[in-house]
Amino acid sequence: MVDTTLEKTAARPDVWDRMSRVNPRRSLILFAVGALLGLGVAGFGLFTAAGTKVSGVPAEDVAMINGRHILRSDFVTQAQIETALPFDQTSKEQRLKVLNEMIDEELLVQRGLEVDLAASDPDVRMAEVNGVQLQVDADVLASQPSDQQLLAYYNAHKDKYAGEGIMALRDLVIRSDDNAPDEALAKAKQAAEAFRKGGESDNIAATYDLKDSGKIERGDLFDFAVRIKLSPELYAAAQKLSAHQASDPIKEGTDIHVLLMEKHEAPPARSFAEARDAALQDYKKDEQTRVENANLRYLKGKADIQLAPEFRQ
Amino acid sequence: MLVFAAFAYSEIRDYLLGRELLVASADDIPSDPTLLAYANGLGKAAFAANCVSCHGGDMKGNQAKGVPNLTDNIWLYDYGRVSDIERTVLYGIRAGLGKSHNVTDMPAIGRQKALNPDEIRDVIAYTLSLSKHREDPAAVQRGSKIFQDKGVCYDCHSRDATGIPDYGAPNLTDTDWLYGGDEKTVYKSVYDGRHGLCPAWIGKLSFPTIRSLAVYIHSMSRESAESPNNRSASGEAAGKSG
Repeated sequence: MVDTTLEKTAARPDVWDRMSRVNPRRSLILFAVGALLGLGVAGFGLFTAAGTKVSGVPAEDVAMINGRHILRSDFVTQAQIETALPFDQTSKEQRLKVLNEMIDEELLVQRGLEVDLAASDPDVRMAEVNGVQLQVDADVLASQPSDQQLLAYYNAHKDKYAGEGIMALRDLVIRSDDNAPDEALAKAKQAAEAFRKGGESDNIAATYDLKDSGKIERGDLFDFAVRIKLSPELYAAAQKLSAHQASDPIKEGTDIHVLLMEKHEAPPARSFAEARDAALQDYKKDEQTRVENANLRYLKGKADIQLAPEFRQ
Repeated sequence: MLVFAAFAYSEIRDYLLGRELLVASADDIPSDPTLLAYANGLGKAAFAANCVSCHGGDMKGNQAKGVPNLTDNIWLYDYGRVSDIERTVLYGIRAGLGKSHNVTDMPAIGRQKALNPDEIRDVIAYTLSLSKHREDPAAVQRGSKIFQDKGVCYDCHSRDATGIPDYGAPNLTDTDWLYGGDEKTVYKSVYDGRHGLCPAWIGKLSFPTIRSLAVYIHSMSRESAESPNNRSASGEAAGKSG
């Protein structure tokens, strides 16, 4: 007897069996369709991108713009400022107007960040720098040092808080002659020696052809006034002179100077009570500088800073 | 199983109440018993953990450090409504944030040599006379002129010296003094200036906690007489009686 079941089974095509066999042509077609579908989805997403979407607005916010918050508290404050009314007395239209303005502002701020406005706009850069510095300085600006801290600061910087010293100084010059440069220098040296031995200064100056430079009035002057009128080199030389002392000749350009100190009173020390105001200002300024430098050190420490070869240390 | 259910119930309730607390208008919360009770519980714990070190366990502040009393109806900034207090808790006072209360502070009038010591003493005599201290009439008169002119005191404290809440400039006509109302302390305030600070809690505490703190502080204090809530309430009363 013939087994008809087996015969029928053998005769009927097995679809699954066909599909499970490797078919290169079918594989390629499916691969191409999948790739095209994927490209289509990616392209659609790319060209219709609408920003990050979050589901729901947190309870503390009145709106979320691309994931950034607009706080209810800020919205209420803004509405009260703009309408000059308590919030519960503002109308729905007023609230919506304020909200739309805040949304517009947020969008523009985000756009500014997107286009990196700080890189090209000096005003934006300055505002950011000032804002960050204010945050860093906030504690220093608001705090006051204790009396002990301030006294310690004063003691460490006492010389800064001395009063002004007094000088009565003559700045005598002889012009150096290009034809006989050594002659003027020799006269200046002789004059300096003569001043040191004592004697009437006008006579000595006349003897050696020295004249007042005209930069300093005769008589008592505060240290700071002398500092303004003389060059740094001359002032530094003057500071070392005591009363009735004369400096060595100092050449400046074509002039040879001899300084004669007639009177020199040292700056009087100011007591802590007298200098307290200035010490407090300096203390706070130093503290501000300290925290700002510490902040910059911290930022540099975690930054990736790369320098062009000619600026590498 | 029951413990877990109770825990789950408590967490879900907290979440829902917290959300409701934030969604509600800040100034309406005191009139909602459920939210008020919830916020006061959370706020009291948050105050104990974060604010007591400056404002004290009794919330009466510290005059030696210029920390204000939070149980009265005197407010440097705004009017003591829940929304006002919330803003201060969020962004602080001179805390370095752009939204902090930071329009101005008390400048160091003496150290900056805007007024000399005698002029400062005269303007103090005038100021103290406003709160009914007995002062030398001649000094009061000189001080009044300085207040309205050279000292530029009116610019922050207003012409009638009652202060400007937008600036945090205090009322000088009452007997409430942040740092002390004796002549020596007031002299120091004018000479050296004052720059009190309250930190900003945004980013440090959760938003429900910040709002709860504001509600709790509001519950323990009173709004100022100038508060729009008090003005509208008195307006309604006048309307009813009229």
